[in-house]
Amino acid sequence: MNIESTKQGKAAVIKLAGRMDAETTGQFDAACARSLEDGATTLVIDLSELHYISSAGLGSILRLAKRMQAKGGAVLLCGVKGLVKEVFEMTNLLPAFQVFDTAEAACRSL
Amino acid sequence: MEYELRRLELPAEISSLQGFTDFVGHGARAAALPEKQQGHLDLALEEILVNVMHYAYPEGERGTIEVGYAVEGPGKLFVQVSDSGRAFDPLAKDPPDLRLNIAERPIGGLGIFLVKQVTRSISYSRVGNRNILAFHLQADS
Repeated sequence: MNIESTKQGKAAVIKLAGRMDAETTGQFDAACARSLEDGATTLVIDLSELHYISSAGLGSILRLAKRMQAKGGAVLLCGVKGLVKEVFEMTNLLPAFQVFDTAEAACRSL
Repeated sequence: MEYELRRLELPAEISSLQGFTDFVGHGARAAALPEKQQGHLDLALEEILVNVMHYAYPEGERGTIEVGYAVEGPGKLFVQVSDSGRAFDPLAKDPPDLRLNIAERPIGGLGIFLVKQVTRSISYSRVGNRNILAFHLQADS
């Protein structure tokens, strides 16, 4: 999995590409931790180039959302499609998040 | 009709995930599974393997996992995952409560639920000292 993080004011856009599985999920956790240390209060997770996610990836995003919610921040999702969208829908997690078409649209909403 | 079962045995550790995924990927292509079912296959396989890696063997014991597949025809693939760990039927677990909000949702417990959603005719059996989880992937008709 490739991860690109960019700072946009108080938000960080974390763009994931490739496969988020039990072996690669730790990279996502580390990227989010770095953005939070940098002072981000909102994390925009761009899934437009993520082709695969398993329950390990879902668990990681859910853990992050719980943590952000508890401290008054937020996790926004964008670019959810294909198998990734199907997995979020099967587990009924999509309604729990604010979902946008693009990272730009997510950042504009802030 | 008997189909040829191709098998691969690797250590029950996370670094084996890619090898197993590549291995069944050959089967998926040989069966001409559509892209959607190839994604389902990867997902089911990972969830089952990770479950075995976490629960089958006691801490410190170096167990193995065997994955087998058989192409049963165009768009139809049979897969089985077996281990010699303690008897454990992951399918017996209660389904997760999907109505809970983020704060209430437990972390974990979604893996086997996802497996059940994306596979067909999944079954667990204990044969001798082995756990065997078998399922089918099939193109939408």
